[in-house]
Amino acid sequence: MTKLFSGSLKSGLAILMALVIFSISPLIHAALISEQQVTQAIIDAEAQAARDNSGALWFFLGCLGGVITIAAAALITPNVPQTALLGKSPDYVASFSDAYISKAKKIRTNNALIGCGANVVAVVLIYVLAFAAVASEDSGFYY
Amino acid sequence: MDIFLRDPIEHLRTPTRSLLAFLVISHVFILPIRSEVLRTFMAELHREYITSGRREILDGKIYYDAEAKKVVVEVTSPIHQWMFLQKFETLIYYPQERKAFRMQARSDAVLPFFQLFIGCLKEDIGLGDLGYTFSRYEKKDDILISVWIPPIRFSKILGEAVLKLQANKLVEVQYKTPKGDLYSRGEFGQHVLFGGYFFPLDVSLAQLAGQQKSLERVTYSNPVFNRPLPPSIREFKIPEDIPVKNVLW
Repeated sequence: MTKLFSGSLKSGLAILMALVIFSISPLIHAALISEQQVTQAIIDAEAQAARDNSGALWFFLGCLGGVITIAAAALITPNVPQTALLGKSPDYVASFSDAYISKAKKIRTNNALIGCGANVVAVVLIYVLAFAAVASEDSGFYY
Repeated sequence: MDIFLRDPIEHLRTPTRSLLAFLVISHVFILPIRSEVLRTFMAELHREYITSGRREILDGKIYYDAEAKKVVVEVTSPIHQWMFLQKFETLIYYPQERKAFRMQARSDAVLPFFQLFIGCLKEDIGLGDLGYTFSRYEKKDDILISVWIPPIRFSKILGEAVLKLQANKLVEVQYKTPKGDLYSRGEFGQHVLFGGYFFPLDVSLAQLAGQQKSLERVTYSNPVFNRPLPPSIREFKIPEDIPVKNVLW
C-alpha cells in the first residue's frame, strides 16, 4: 500500500513538473525573442544613425556656429526614419527609437564640439602668430 | 505644357531653352490629358528589404488620402501593425499586442518609397521642392535624361540627380555623390496610367555607396484610385483603453 502510494506520488510530481515546464517555456521563449529584437533594434538604430548623420557636416557647422551649433546638436531631437519601424514589433520600435535618437545626438554633439574646438585653436594660433610678428617688428629682432 | 502655367517663376530661374526643350520632348510622345486629380489611392503592398545579409519581407495594404496628406499602412505580415503618417505625427498601433506609439517630429512624416510613387505626379518627382534646379537634358534612343543639381548650400554633401523617362514614364532615378559617383539608384516598372500620370507599381531602390549597401523593392498590386477610403481608415481612433506612448522626435 505504501509502495503504491509513493509510486503514485512520484508520478504525480513528474506530471506536475512537466506541466510547469511546458507552461513556462513559452514565456521564456517570448522573453528571449524580445531580448533578441531589442538587441537587433539597437544595432540597426546605431548603424542607421551613423549613416543619416554626417560627422563632417556637424564638424563644419561646429566650426562656424560654435556654441550655438553644440546646443542645437544636443537639444534638437532628430527624426527617426519611419520606414525602419514598418513591420517591427513594439519592443523593436521602442528600442530603435531610443537608440537612434541617442546615437544621432552623440554623433552631432561630438563632431560639433570637435569643430568648435578646432576653430578656437585656429583662432588662438592666428593671434599668437600675429602677436609674434608684431612683437618681432617692434624689437627689431626676427624670430 | 501646363507646367508653365503652374510654375512660371520656377522655369525662369533655370536655363530656359533647355528646360523648354526638355518639357516639349517629355510630352511629345504621349501628350496626356491630365484631367483627373489624384484624391485617394489604395493597394496591396509587398516590400522586400535586403541589407547586411538580412532579408526582411513585409506584406500589407497602403492607403493614401491626398487632401488630408495622410498615408496609412496596415502591415499584415510578419506582424499586425498599423502605421498612420500625417503631417508631423506618426501613429503606430498594434491591435493584438494592444500597444500604441505616437511620435511627433518637426518635419512631415514620410515613407521614402511611397514618396517616389506619389512623386510621379510631378515632372521632376519633387526635386524642385527639395531645392534642386534643372541643369541639362539629353536624349538616348527613346529615353529622355534630365540632370538636376542640388541646392548650393548642400553641394558639399549632395551630387547631381538624374531622371530617366521613357514614353513619359519614369524608369530610373540616380542620385550621385558630389564627386560624381553613383550613390543610389531607383528603378521603376509596371506602370499604370491614371489621370494622365504613369504610376510605377514596381519600385526598386538600391543604395550602392556608403557604409551599408541595401536593396529595397516595393510592389503594389490591385491599385485603386479615387475611391472613398474605408471608414476605419478615415475615422480611425485608438481605443481608449490602450496606453499610448508619446515619443517626441
